[in-house]
Amino acid sequence: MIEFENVSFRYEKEKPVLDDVSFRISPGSKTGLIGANGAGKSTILKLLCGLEQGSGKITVGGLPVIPENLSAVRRQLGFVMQNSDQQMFMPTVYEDMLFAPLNYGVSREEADRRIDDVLARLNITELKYRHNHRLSGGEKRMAAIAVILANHPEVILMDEPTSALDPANRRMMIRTIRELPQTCLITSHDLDMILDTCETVILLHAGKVRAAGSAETILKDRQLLEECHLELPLSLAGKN
Amino acid sequence: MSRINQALRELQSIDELAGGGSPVHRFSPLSKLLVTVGYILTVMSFPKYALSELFLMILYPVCISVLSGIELRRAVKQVRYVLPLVMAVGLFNPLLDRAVVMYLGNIPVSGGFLSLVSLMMKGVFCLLASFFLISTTPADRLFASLRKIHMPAGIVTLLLLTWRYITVLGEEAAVMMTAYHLRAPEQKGLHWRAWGSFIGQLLLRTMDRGSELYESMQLRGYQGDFPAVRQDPFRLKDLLYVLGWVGCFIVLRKYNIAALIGRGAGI
Ligand SMILES: Nc1ncnc2c1ncn2[C@@H]1O[C@H](COP(=O)(O)OP(=O)(O)O)[C@@H](O)[C@H]1O
Ligand SMILES: [Mg+2]
Repeated sequence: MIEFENVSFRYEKEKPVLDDVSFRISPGSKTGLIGANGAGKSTILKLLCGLEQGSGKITVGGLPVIPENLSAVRRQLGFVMQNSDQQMFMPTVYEDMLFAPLNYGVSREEADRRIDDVLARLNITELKYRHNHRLSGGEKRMAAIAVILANHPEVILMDEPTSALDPANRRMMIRTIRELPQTCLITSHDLDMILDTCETVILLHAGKVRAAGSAETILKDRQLLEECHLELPLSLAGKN
Repeated sequence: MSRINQALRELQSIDELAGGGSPVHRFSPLSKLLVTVGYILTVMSFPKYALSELFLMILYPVCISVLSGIELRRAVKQVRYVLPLVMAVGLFNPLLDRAVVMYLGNIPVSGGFLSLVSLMMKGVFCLLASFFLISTTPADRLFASLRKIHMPAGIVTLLLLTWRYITVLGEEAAVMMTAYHLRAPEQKGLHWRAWGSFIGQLLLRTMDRGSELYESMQLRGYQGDFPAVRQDPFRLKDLLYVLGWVGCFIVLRKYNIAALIGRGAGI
């Protein structure tokens, strides 16, 4: 479904951020992309959407991510950005949700149906006509997910979905992620959230994939995590 | 609340005004755009000493204010940010054009003074008309109507992004001002020495946020054209609206109504 083969990348003239990174994500799975600040998590998401270009080969649903395919690739992907303020640019939640479907040629009636369906599923119907800049942090994050779901993506990319959320909103976010049927790639250093939502994990450190595999195994490995400047999830910390 | 925050909040509340449902709101965006352009062209075309004729052009903003339920006071308040700019343009007229053209009682009034006043009036009127346009028409529908009259997609996008970026710029400025004041509490404004780095930082941050905003648009299939969120048909009533106002403007421009009324009263 998603495949990185020997991908390297650097921002202009800086030192490499990613150095020969390879991994694959199977359809329908939920994968946590973890690593300390600056490990290159957001950069991987940007490469996937074709917002940046590196060397090596990236494919999404069998399509290589190259300029000619961008439109087809992006149609499959829904990117929930770290900062919802940057993601939403229309005046109201409703108009923001309409933007992508209409751009991709979905009819107005079909788009309206999808929007009502997504809002009901996320339990935020009351946000429909609210103005984006009047939403609270938690509401904004939920609206941002609704905006992405309205376009029926096959893969959802989330950049630090629980950062800056209070405990109640964080719990709601975790519940929402667990209920998503799509393939998900979630970056975070909130390892408890990753443990609650993902079955597999990719651990990045110093521009390389340090470990990849079952979330249970990797997130329990105190020594490995500490080498990568991370800490055991709180829920596991007491157990050994 | 800081001044920047205040300005920002006002700007955002324009977006909310635009979502209203008054009779003016219900005309098609294109018709309002055409009327506004017609109004601005008419106002600008008045000769520089024609104060009393020009003054009657205030009829349009007053009518729109009444019909839309948006108070004129509110509009004037909004326009105050740009007013100094308008004044600066005509500031030298009184110095350059000193010929006396009329007397108020027995005070001589120079041509330069008259033209300064008329320039200011023109500026204020045009700003008022623009304010009423954007506060009765949601931005995206307004921009969609620009596309309908075949304005190139690039320009429309640029305008729309500018509109969105202004708030981004303002938010960044507000955050930075807050951070600055927390560290320099005894200071009233920004110390002149901090201006350079402040503006540099502001531009960098705004560009970062702006490019992220643009990325989000691209990821959601943006190809240079905003999808028409609502179809805004141009109906007969919209045509009548345009013709009615343009007719009014032509009459106001061609005939000196003030003088006619004065003469009528004099008989
Ligand atoms: N636009 C950019 N220009 C230059 N360097 C960048 C840019 N964005 C990120 N970086 C650098 O790339 C590295 C990885 O960043 P990022 O992928 O955002 O990390 P993470 O999301 O894991 O915290 C960091 O060292 C960061 O400083
Ligand atoms: Mg990041």
